[in-house]
Amino acid sequence: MDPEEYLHELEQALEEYRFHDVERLTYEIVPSAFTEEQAKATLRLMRGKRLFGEMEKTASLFFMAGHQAPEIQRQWAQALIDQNRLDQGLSALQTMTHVSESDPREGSEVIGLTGRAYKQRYVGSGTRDDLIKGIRCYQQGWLNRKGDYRWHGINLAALLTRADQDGVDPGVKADASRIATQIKQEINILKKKEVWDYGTAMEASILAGDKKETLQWAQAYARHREADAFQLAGTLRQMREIWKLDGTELGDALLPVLEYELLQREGSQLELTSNGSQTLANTGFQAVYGTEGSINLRWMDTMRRMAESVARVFDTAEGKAHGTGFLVTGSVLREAWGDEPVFVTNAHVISENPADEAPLRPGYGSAEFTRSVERPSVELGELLFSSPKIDLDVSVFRIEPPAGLGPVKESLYSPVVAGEDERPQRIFVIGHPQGGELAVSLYNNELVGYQDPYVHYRSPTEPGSSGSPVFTRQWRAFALHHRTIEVQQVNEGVLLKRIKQAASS
Amino acid sequence: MSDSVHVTFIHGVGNKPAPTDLRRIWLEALARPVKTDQGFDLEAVGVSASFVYWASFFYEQPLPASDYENIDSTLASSEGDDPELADDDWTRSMLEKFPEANAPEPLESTAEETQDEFERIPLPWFVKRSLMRRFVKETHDYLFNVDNIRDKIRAMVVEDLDRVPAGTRHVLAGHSQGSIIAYDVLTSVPECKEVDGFLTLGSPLGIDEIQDKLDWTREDGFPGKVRDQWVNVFDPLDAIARLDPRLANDFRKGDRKVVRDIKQDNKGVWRHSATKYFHHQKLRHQLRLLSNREDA
Repeated sequence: MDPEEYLHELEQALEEYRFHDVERLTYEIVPSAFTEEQAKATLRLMRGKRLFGEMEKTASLFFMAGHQAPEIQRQWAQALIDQNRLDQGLSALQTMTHVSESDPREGSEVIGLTGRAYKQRYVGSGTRDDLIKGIRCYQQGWLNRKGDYRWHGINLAALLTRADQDGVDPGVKADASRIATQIKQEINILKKKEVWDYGTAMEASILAGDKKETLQWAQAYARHREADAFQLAGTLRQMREIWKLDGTELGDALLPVLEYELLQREGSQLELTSNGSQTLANTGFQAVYGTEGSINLRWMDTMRRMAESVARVFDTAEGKAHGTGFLVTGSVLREAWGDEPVFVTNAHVISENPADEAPLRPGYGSAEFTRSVERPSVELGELLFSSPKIDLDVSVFRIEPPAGLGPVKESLYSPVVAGEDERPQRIFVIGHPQGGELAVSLYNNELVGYQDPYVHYRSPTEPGSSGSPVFTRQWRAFALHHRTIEVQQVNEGVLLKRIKQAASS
Repeated sequence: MSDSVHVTFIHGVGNKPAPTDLRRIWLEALARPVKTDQGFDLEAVGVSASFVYWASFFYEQPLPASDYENIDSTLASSEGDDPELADDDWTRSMLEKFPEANAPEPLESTAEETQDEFERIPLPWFVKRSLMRRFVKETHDYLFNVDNIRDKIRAMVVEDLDRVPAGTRHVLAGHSQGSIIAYDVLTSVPECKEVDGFLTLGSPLGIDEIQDKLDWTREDGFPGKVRDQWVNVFDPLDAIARLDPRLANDFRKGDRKVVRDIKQDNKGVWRHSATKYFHHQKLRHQLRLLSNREDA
């Protein structure tokens, strides 16, 4: 395929989140036909949508075809690092030490990326040496004052603070507070501030422990129209993993606001770690949104309460995760089941019908409610109703939910599919992708259409999401996530109203 | 039985943002959570919506979306922006009822008193004059079919109603002059389909001069093509509806009062605002009832 044509098709496929088409397009690349600029543009497009697997494959194709520009090599390393292949990424970056001399700006990127890899390795392993190496990289970037050196500076200040908290001697002479102050001063006098300047200033204010100022910068950063889902997700990670703001007064004010903003964007996912059913603090919402704050707070609060009713389904004996499920008021699906919650998941997750090829049989499955403190688990009780994988793909169980946990709010209506030129209906899937932490999917959450009793939507879900509730934008569960249809590149859910009909007949 | 529901909205007087923007603004206003209501997100609960957009008959360019019901923009654009009115008895009669539409300077009492409330922050007189003149002119031109506007708008409404699939519960909702248009089509256009529910908000249908130009009698003014309920929501300080905001007495069904008049308090300066009506829990509750979505 002609590179121009390829780039055009790639851009469209990315815009519409047709990731399978992106994969198909990769097979059509003739790398030698690409100019260096076209190769760089390709990688930037993939990076923009965080398609690191494809980015890695594509970068190596260009590299082997002789496109060995530092940016291409660095993007390759970035793809490895973002797939958490940190050692491989660092190896790739170590061959680029010469870049700083020939291309100072690119050199600065290499140094920052190296620092990021060490930082991530430290978060994972807690090895002091990684922290010290990370600090040295960022210090070099900060002192070089090339490219986005303030980004290096704030990371240096963050890691120095973290070293102090963890009792690690960083082995460098640098004062985190002074760096943060200098960064804020520089940003304050910038005539034109970019979105990341606001984020950097926000972090610098965190170091100063100034809640009011932090929230002022957060207002400018989080509500900035150019703050996309990936930036906000990255900031949230930094707040949690490096600044350890969870459970702090500042964190209680700031983190829910960043989460709220992330949920308004498309193209990422919000991980919901267990932090109990604490009431959200209003201070951050008030500071960032003024009188509107209480409305946004309530929306977040509803999302959190709904997420508490979602559980990971696992093998009681082995502990292996196989899917997701959620609590629904019994009478919503069948009058005779009463007002106590029942547990809903897919038949292909747990079923007694061999045709469903489910990994679990009734009596062998449990549900872990990961949003609750201590993540309580309960065994699933009697199988009340099941419909095979090829039909409604649902199993409903009696359950005694952990204390304090109730059902999701449900909707037995089908949201309207947007017409031409109309804003698409946004839906949210809450589940345990890959059996990992509970997450809200934010990738192009577009309702595509219906094929009764199914609903189709574009949120890309991963294995482990089977059995997740599909919510309207007002946090009403209206469908049960069921499968991905690869050919159409859509996901399919089963409408709760159809499950009700079948269970009630 | 199908649970599908459709609402056809007809907007009111004055210029409006482009159709897609107006649709978005109105639906978002209904869906927006407020302190007393979580929001009624029509589309999320399977209620489809369409809009009869007729502002283009009066205005060459749509209003920028950011200027819609924005008091600052209205202030900026209103002075000197007074439409010419027809020189006829009907217009003179309307001007007697709405003296602010002809006021060369502030009227003595700018606080509009009703029995138990008054508007504490009145709209600047020149803004009100401009808005009222537009109301008088656009209503006149519709009712008198100037340049065949009545015929054209009627056809648009009928076409929209025809598009709603059979078996769908159908609610027709008109704001301000939109309520006049809706009533007119329901009562005077033979090919107009029946609807299940009728919602009027900020409606001037209580004004004699308007009733006189419609196919209406006090004893039997309830449109035969409304199968179920007609709900009329008003704010007593709504500048357009305030002369006679309650409709139950004027639009009887076999001499029985059947229209449900619902009073709400829109607060602020311009209480005729459609989005203010949509923000209020009372209107939302009524629309939920009409749409069979009480649990939404």
